[in-house]
Amino acid sequence: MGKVKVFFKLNGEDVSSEIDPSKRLLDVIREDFGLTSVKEGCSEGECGACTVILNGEAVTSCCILGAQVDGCSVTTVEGLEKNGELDILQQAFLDAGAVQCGFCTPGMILSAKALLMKNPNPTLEEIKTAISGNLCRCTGYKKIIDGVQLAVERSNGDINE
Amino acid sequence: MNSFQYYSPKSVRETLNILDRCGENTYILAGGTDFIVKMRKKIVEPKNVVNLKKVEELSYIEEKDNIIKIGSMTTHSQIEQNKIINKKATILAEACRDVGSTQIRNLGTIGGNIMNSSAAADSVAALVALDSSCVIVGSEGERLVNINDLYGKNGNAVINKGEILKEIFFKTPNSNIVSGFKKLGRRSALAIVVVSIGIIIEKMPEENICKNIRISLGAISRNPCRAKAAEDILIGKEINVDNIEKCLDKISEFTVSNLEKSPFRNLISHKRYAVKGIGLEVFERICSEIKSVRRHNYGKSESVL
Amino acid sequence: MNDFNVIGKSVQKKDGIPKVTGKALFARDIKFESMLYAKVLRSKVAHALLKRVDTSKAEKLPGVAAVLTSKDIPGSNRIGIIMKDEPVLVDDKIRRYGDALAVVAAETEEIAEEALNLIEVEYDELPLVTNVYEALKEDSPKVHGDTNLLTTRTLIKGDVDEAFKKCDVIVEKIYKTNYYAHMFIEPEAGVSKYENGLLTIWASTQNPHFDRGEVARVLGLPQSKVRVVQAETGGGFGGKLDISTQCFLGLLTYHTKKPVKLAYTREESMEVSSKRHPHIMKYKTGADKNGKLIAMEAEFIEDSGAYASYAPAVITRAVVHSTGPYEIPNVRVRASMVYTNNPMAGAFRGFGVPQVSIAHEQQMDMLAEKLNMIPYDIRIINALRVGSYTCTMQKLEDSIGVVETLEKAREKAEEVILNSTCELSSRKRRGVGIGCMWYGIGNTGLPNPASAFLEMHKDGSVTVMAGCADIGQGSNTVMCQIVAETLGVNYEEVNIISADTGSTPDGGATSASRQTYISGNACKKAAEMAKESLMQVAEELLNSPKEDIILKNKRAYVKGHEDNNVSLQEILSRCAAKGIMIVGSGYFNPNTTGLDPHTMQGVPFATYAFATHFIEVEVDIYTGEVKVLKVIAAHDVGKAINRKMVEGQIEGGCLMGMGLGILENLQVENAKMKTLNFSNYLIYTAKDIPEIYPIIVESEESTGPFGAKGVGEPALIPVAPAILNAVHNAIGVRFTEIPLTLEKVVEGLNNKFN
Repeated sequence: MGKVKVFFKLNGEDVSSEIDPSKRLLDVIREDFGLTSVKEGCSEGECGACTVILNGEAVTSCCILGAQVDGCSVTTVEGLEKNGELDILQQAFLDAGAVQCGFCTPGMILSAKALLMKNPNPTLEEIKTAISGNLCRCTGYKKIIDGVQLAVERSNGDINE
Repeated sequence: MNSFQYYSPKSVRETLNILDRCGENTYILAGGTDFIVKMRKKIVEPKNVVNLKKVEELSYIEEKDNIIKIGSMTTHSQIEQNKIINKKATILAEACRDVGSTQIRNLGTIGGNIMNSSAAADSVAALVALDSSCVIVGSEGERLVNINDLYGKNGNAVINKGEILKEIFFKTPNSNIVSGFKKLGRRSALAIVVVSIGIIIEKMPEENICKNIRISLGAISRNPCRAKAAEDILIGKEINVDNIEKCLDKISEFTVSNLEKSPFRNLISHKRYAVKGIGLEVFERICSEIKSVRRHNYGKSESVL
Repeated sequence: MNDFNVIGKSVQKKDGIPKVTGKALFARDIKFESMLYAKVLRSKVAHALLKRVDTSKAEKLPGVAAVLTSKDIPGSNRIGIIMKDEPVLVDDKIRRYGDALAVVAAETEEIAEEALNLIEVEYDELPLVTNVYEALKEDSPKVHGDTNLLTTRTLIKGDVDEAFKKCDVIVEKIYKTNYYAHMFIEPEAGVSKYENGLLTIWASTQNPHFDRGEVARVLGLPQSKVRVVQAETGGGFGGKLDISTQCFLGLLTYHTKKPVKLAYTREESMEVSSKRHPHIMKYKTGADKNGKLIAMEAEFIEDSGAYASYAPAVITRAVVHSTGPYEIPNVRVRASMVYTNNPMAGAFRGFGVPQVSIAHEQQMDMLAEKLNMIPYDIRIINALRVGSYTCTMQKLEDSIGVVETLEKAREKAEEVILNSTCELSSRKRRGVGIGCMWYGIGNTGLPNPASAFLEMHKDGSVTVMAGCADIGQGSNTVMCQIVAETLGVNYEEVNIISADTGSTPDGGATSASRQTYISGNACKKAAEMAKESLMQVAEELLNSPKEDIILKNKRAYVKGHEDNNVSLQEILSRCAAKGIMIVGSGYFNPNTTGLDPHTMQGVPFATYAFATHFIEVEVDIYTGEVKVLKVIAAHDVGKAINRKMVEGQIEGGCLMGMGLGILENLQVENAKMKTLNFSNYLIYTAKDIPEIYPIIVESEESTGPFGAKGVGEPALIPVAPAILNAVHNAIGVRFTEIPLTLEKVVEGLNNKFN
């Protein structure tokens, strides 16, 4: 059972790894690349804590094999900060009080980021739908939605800055 | 998870070659939302895994000669966002829109949903109402199977070794047709179907008469199926509250008789009513003639709280 | 009007940046060189005599460093949060599914998993006891010792038998609640290592000092030789108070001398972490024709499962709160807590009060109905006020905000719910209901102190060392706000080290909604001690007695003569010159008494939180869907130290309460848990949220830090009761069992209308 070599973009950088094909993308990101912001909450794609952005779309990395992302672009929350400055969403989450225990937070931010990259002016329903696959037990979601709306307000459509 | 040989073909031809060469315990990896979870739980222990994500020729939605064709690797997201599907086959857009969550829709494919053969497969119920056909391809060639004939006695999709599902297609519903879908879940996202209903109704042009109707129900039998007896109640009749009520009663009867033959008789007392509720909701949504409303107010608070 | 600099402000959380950048290290994120991975072998039966555990084959598997069983435990093999009735590794009897039989450490998780399959176990199965009534019979299988009766409680106030004779109306009903799971998004995990000769464990936990005590006992070591550090913890809600990974990790590192990591799978966490106690509650409540409550009698039976966990605390709290926030002159409550082979029940947000509240709130509504009164009025008439006596004959003196929460919630309800008119489909019915609650802050009638240390550095910045564990609710932030305000410094310059037994004193458990009140007071005391030293010097410099001096904005001012001031820096320089150090320590224990063993009379709590919810629901009479539309949540928190964080608790409690009332449906069959993951134990998503209107009422508790009490558990409690009352208002069916699944609602409608 041979190892597979994958080449992909991780947070904007070209990377590669030789992996066991049975390894999930979640494991590859956490173990091979040491990016522990991507969390394992359920191992079955239901809680969303393992969400990453894959080719512009939010996906649950516990449901993808590492080998499948060959040639793709993957973003985790570590890739959002630019030159030590927080991304608009990250700052908005802080200011809105959207963070309690923080375990769901990276996944939430990425689901929101994927939405805003495609749709910089979403409706309330669209925001709720975008994060509907990210479970949170602490916040009741209200301030998380507030955080996304705050980011929209502040970005005036320039969410990719 | 124990390791396996991994293939990532770039074309259908390459895929079929690989499948022909591989022996037992060879699995197709489509969206992965079901499969990888099963692997982790050791429900399946593959020797070979064939990833179809790179087979771009399997991902498309197109309309040609009045037929809408969807490649098997098209994701639920792609379907629910597609203009043609939303306009002309609303029932399928709505069915895909409600699957799982955003992440699951971004990964899960319609082919995977069909082949997984779940009684609760949302998109399959819509495809049944659309009277869709599946294109199955192997190295010997292609064959067509109507969706209603795809599932065998045990409810699983019947496909031969070395074959894959290539495409699903259905006749484009004409401009006199409206359709809708509703799934009852226990919550508003990440919800497994409790019951679901898909309705496609063709009106007589200029008249409020039902020319044709197809009603499919999900999670009341092993696979989603058509409620033909209920359809017959409405065909040729005026679309009004009374006739819809009769139709809903028939849907309820159909639900009861299906469940009576199943191991889930304990669910009858709920599903027989639930199916009327969601049926009514879809009819209300797609037929403006039958909105049934009541005024609601609490009156003065001194009399309420 | 208080003019606070930082109290009451929604300052940015101390742990916010690490969490939004993904840098916060949860236990599973921690990695060390040569780290081993652990797995636990768990029983696949619920009740059996353990005869043999043969680890020889597993030990020989390449890559395995250790396979341990009960014989490898150097100290005590019995742990437990109150009663020590749980084995770390089973040595006599398996008592529930998932009991730990052996533990493995290996080079990879896969090898550890493989090793588990090589361990041979022999046992003789025993008959199961899974029903509380069966469990109390003479001839039932016994889980521990010779009785399944874990403990009982009796509360007596006045004379109920006489009092019922005087009632004009009486309502009687039996209520049942199910198991519920915490579903914190982070499953339990931990890492252990010898660090500088000290056995150190980083764990996902709510009480590192308790963990240290247990690990030390299990290893036969003095507590000073064990250090437990709370890793960033992804939610707890009471489910991370019991020992989870800590003792396994301690044992494995103790034996292998190497770092070890243990991360539970979701299924494992579901199976073995504690659950909410199922309650069966028989209530009888009577009132006079004016709606004044005269008598209440109740009987509870509660299922503890295979081990005690928090049972003694839950049963006590449930009984003490059984009346609801109302004054009832005659009360008798008898409660029994029972062992079975079912999953272990323990602490879960509310500790028995969510269960009793669905009973007392519906009793109130039913009485109101019989008396032709509205639910609001009957509550106003009976609500506790200053001067009221609770059912434990505690006279309430201070900070009793329940009436204010009723008034404010009603006002808002009139604005956003009651005066609206709309058009609904014929399938839908709407209703509105009230839920009121009270919740004693801190452990019930037992000492539960917390302590803190503090140092002001030479530049005026401050470090707080507090034992209290922040599990996301924001205690780290609150402590810093309290200290900043007390010392007159900027919030940004206060740093906190928390929940590390190696560097912080004991803060007690993060439970019972106690940390703001108790650790908050401890931190305030520590700050005041440090402040004393500053004041000594300030007095000199300002030539004014310290009673007239205020510390604010890093300066010391004389009251009324603000131009007579001096900078903090000047004071500190003078302190340094005199050899005065600005350090502080403090601890606080609420002023309570124990409860009388026969009547439970006494002062169980020094302060209570109160709340009223008005909730609007929409019911689909065909499908049975109960949709929560609007929640008005008025909470008396004494004082909101951080308003956004209080709202966050209210909003989170709202969704959890909705789950409790409607959606969450844990299935246990023959002692086996069937719902083991998020796919079958459902919690609400972002698409399910209602409109929430949090209202903060501040009745200012004089013994609380800046008047604060607590809100963590109160946030949850009124939701399900209000939903049940609202459903009755909508469809005329009274449900006495939760959760209100689709099927249950349709069945209720059928029973009523067919």
